[in-house]
Amino acid sequence: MEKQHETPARVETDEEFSDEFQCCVCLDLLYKPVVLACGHISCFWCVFRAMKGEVSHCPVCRHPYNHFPRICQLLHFVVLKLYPKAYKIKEQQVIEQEKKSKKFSPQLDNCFRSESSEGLSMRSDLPPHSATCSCNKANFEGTEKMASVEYTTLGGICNKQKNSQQFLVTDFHCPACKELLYRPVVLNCGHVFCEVCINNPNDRVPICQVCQSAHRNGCPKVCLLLKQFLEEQFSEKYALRKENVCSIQPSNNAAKLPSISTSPYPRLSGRRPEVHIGVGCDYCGMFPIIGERYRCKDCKEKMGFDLCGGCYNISAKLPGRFNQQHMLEHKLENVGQLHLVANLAWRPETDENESDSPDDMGGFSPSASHSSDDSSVNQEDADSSI
Amino acid sequence: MPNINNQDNNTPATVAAISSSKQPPPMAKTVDIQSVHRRLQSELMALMMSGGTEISAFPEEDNIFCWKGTITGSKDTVFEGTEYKLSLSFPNDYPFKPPKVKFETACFHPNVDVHGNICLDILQDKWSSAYDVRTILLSIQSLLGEPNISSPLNTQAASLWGDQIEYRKMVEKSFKSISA
Repeated sequence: MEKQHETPARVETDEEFSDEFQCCVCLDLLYKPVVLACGHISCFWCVFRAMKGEVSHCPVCRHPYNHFPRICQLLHFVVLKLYPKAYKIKEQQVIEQEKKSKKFSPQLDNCFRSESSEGLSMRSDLPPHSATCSCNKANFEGTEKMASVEYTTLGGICNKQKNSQQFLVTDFHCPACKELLYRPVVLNCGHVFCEVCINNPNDRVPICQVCQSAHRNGCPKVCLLLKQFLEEQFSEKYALRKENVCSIQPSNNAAKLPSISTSPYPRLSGRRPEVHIGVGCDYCGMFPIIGERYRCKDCKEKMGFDLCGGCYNISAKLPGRFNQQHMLEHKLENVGQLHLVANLAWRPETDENESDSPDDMGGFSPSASHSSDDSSVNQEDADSSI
Repeated sequence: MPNINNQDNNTPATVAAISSSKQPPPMAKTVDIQSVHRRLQSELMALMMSGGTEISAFPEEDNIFCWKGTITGSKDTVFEGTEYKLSLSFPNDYPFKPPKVKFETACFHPNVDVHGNICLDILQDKWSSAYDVRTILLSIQSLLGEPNISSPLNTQAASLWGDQIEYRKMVEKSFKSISA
């Protein structure tokens, strides 16, 4: 093996990071963290590469999901601010890998108000507006009017840092209630809300109030890492929020929340819809795409650009998930199952021979009955659609 | 999507030249070898720091993709006092695929065949990328004392399992013949 890679990143830098911020898959610092509906966190690429078959499972708790969430930018910038050196090393490694594989993760602009004037040294060469972040900016717009600027210093999980960082409490406000996030949950789109603020019994699928995306992986659970961070970072405010929320919403709160859905697929009657194994929708994140699939004919990126039937029909205007330069004027074509083998667009790159191995982790999802062997399923559907 | 900046450092200038073809790259399997390497290094560090005596593992010579592990039989099981060597061979897409784990020491067990192959769900369809060498070895250690009799690889061991005294004798016999 190459000599320069024999020492793990944690040794190369003096910057020891807390175990809470270690990705359970790469065992390194969380980089561009993605929060699954169960509240567990992993790096963008670690989540993507672990997705497989018809239903993917959380590496920690096996909770099933079929929509690839977007990066949680709030958490991303927390990590970046806490551990800039370790982050930089990890970033270099990931950029190198991305260049080799020619598949890219989204770029993120800093969304912290406290940083906006100085900018980020490592990202200052980038254009100020990447579309990925435009919606998240709104997340923090509400804080502009706040007169009182309040800083706290780090303690608890973060106090191992020598040069303690300062966080602005207004950067951690819930976009719905405009107060400090209490028991934060992260939606599929990466936006963070208080648990009580998305608890809407009239609406089975939570809709993000910032970007209007639907959260389809079941009712999200509290992100414990973020909760712990807030508790330690803003201990007084957090305690106050706890009092307030509990007085309004007596403790039956948890019972009211529906448990995470174990049937991630919409009920579809009649003929079994096409399943585009290994291909995901760039808007809603559905992975794999089930039903109609539209592929962009003009996007040149190796990752390709694909939409599910639903997102194609509502002509959503969200950025792609892999930094694709997709434009509204691009043409999309309907891709049938028969093209599947030739178009492994969204497929995790290590999974070329996925269909050879019976490693779908299904078992407690309703789709498990026909997911035991991907290749036979494909064949079957291909036959029936001729 | 109106993300029209072209000069970002995520998009190399060669993008247009690469392809409009979306074929998976022939060298895809080797792309991430360095991150696999880093992950295995982290695991090794953590294992060495933990300093447990019940399980241990270390890479073979200078190949970090091939490890030798050791587990000891747990107390109050028929395997108490025994020690087994295992080999772990990691694929290039570890941890997204499980390592191949085999007993190097012959093990008389319902879920281990004569070649040392192990029938354990977490090494097959129930694998998760959050598992590591430590959790694998601990799982195998607990499998020793809690075999799955319903799907045996070694039917003789499975049928004998009900008689723990006789089973203990078999374990002692086979273990002594190896260590002798």
